[in-house]
Amino acid sequence: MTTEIVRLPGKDLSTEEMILNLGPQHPSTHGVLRVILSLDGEVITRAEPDVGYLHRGTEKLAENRTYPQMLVISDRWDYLSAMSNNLVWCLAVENLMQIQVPDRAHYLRVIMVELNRIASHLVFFGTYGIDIGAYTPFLYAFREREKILDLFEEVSGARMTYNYIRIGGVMADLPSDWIAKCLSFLEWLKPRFQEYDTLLTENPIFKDRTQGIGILDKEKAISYGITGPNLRGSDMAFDIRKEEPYSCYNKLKFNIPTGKNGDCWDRYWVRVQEMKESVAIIEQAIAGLPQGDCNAKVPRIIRPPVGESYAQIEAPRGALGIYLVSDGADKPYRVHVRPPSFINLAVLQDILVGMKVADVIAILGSVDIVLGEVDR
Amino acid sequence: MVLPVWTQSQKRAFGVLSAISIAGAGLSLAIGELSLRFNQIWKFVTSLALKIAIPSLLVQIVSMILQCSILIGFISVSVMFIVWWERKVSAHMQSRLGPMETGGWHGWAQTIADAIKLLLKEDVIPHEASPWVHRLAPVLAFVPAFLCYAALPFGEGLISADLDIGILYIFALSGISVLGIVMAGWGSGNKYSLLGGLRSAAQSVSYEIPRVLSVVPILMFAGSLKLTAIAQYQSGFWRISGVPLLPKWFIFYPFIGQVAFLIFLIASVAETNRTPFDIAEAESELVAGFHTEYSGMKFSFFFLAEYAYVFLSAGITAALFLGGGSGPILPSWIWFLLKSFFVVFLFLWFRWTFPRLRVDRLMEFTWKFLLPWSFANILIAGLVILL
Amino acid sequence: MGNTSPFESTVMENTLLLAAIQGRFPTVHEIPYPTAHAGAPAHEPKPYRDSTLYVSVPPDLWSGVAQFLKNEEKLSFDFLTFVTAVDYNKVTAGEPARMDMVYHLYSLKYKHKCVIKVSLPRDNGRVDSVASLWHAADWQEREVYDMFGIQFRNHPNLKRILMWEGFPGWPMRKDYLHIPDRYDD
Repeated sequence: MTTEIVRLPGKDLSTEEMILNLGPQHPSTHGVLRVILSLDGEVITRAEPDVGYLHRGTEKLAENRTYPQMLVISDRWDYLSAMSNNLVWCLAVENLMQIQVPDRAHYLRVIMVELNRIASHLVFFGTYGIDIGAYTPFLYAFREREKILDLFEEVSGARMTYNYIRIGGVMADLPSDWIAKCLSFLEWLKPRFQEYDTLLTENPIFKDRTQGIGILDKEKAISYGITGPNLRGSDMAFDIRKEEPYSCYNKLKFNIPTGKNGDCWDRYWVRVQEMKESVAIIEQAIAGLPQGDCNAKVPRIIRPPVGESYAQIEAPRGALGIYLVSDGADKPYRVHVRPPSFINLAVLQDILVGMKVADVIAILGSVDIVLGEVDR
Repeated sequence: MVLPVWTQSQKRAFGVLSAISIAGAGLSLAIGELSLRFNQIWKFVTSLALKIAIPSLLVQIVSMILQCSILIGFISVSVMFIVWWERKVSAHMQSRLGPMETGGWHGWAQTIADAIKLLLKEDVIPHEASPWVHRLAPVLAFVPAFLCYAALPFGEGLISADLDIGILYIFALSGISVLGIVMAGWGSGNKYSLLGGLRSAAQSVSYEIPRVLSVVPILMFAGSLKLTAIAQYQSGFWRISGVPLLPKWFIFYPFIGQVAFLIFLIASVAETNRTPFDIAEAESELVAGFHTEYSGMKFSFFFLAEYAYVFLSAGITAALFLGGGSGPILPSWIWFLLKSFFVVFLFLWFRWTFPRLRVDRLMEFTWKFLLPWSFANILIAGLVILL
Repeated sequence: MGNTSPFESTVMENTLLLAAIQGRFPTVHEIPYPTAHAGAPAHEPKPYRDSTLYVSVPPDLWSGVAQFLKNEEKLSFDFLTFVTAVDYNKVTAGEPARMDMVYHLYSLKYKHKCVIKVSLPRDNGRVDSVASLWHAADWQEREVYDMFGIQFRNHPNLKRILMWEGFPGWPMRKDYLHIPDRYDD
């Protein structure tokens, strides 16, 4: 729904564009993002995202850390889904070292990553409500997320930076009553999705604000390298869990929800549906959880062979990948993170033009970035 | 159990808090007690003054000052209550508790503490701001709100100035407040403020029209612009074979009453810049809109103005649609307050459940939906009266 | 979806892919699977690389190859997974000091992938930008420029992205020396 700018003839009506710096200190840029907007009234004529305020030089740090030490830093990329970061780092190192992870560890990893996906999407759900102006969903989402964080705290001792998934397996097996707690949480969570639908999904004002806004068509999305719910919102069923199954995803049944139009509402809807799919995945994984060891035999000093590998997983925000080059030392030679948020964010400069200031927030929120991952 | 050791400053703060709250509570009680005998007391005081040969001008001035301070007292107390109430209501809507500590019982003194904090905060005028516009804006936003209260009937006989054109006076004055907001937007030297001010100007001007027009059917039925007369007109009951069925409140007039009430309520929410129409201060878009650059006392003036308008709108709604102070058993001012706070609750309810409209959709909504309906409502009311 | 790859198994796929590219650009060659160097002790693990096709493209051909990879019907590499660079500053007998651009390509249509490496000199490396073919390259090439100082010809907006304008040096290069500044205390 772009707005045409009508210019009236006449000398007296000379107008000037206003440059608005949205951020880096702004309540709804989700961190320290800065978008330089050129405005004609409230209509955007040019948008340039400016990132890097949270740059910590992860890739450089990696060259001076051992492989297990790097796991700690991986928690800090996408701090809303640290389990996924742990997982992709471990997969990359395990690929390189050809470690066979026991089945139980695979299942535990899937359970944790999917729980984390729910937690991450819940944060999206809540903050997107705030972006649109509805404050109440946020508190609801955080109430649910709190319970997930409690579950994580029990298995890993941490609430944000878990460090749970380790090279060769997981940190420790589950506490004795954890599975019962997790199942009762899932039972409790299921009816909440209906609450969300009545509160936000089907709200006419919410639909008015998000439907037909920020349309990202399939070709553009693919060209920009968009992945995750943003790509699936544009009617493209691309999910690495199905394309190149890692861990034990090939043994689990789940659907890939896709949107139709690629607008903000579709991206939002896909995420809400994904939470429901994740619940189903966790239930299957718990039901199929094999007995046995949850750690492979890993050398005390991790020293992968010379070579390179690329591992990617479906993180809550899209395809998160690690490109790892090893020279045979105990520290990586080169680490490159494929950050989904960073790559998804690049599309903003294209789809923001012609929108209104209020839409900027709606679109930015629907792309769902985490600045920790954008800037690394 | 170890009792907390209070520092000197904590003790002082507690003293100030309790003094203010006791004074506030006393004031509210006094208004209540006075309301029944207000006129007699007033006549007695005036005659007494005349007897001891005080010039009548002085009496008038003193009485004006008295009325003003009562109103200001009422506004501050009610605003403090509404803010606390909003926090509690929103908290319970969001499955949390809200303030629970300050003052002991359910955090009742939280707003008072906040108000004191605001008064003590540093007053910042940005370098880019034009100082006088920046200073004048909060005053211009608050004063009209205060003036409007003069014509608000708090109950039978409890009105500071029972104007013949009461409703017109309130609408006219509350329209001035937008100037303060536009000045705040312009004078802050901040782009977010500017956008907020411009949005607010457009919004207020647009919503003023359906708001006034939605009241016209009432004026046509009541035949007066006087708020007390309108409230009076709504007394009594509709009866079916002698059994009182519904009070003759305007909201119960079939069709016309409900349409007018809805339009008035929606436009009032928009006029007070509250969600879903809070585009002027849209936090997620414009940081804080027109009051981005305000702090301390000046900010609290905007805050006061907003909540004063909330109660004012609720009060007018009660007077126009819900029969004012009419009701059984309880004194009229209690009924008035109950009805007003019910409407305030509606405002809070909207705010904590709805997302925010976009600025152009907001305009479309008023010009393409509310305005035609309010015109249609006037036509229907005219037809009904003719028949 | 529903399209199956015109190439059969993974191994075949790699050879067919390579053949398709080499049919047009004969100088493009596959990077051989890494092998343990001659004097390596027996207990040392064998080198590893993913089973994906790794192709080396000369810098002056890259823009043509990229167009071919994207537009050729049976290849249709429509998805650029990521772009990065690796700085090889260690000079060994077999490997000269160089800077490798790494392009990870994927075809959403046929679900095959390949890795393109473009070797550049370590100093004043220049390569054609592919931002007009895959928009994803826009920011990622900026990041590579920011971190390694590689220049991209015809890039729409080549400036620093994560570091600030005027930052001294190219931080991800192996020979980058940190200059202490006010943030070091």
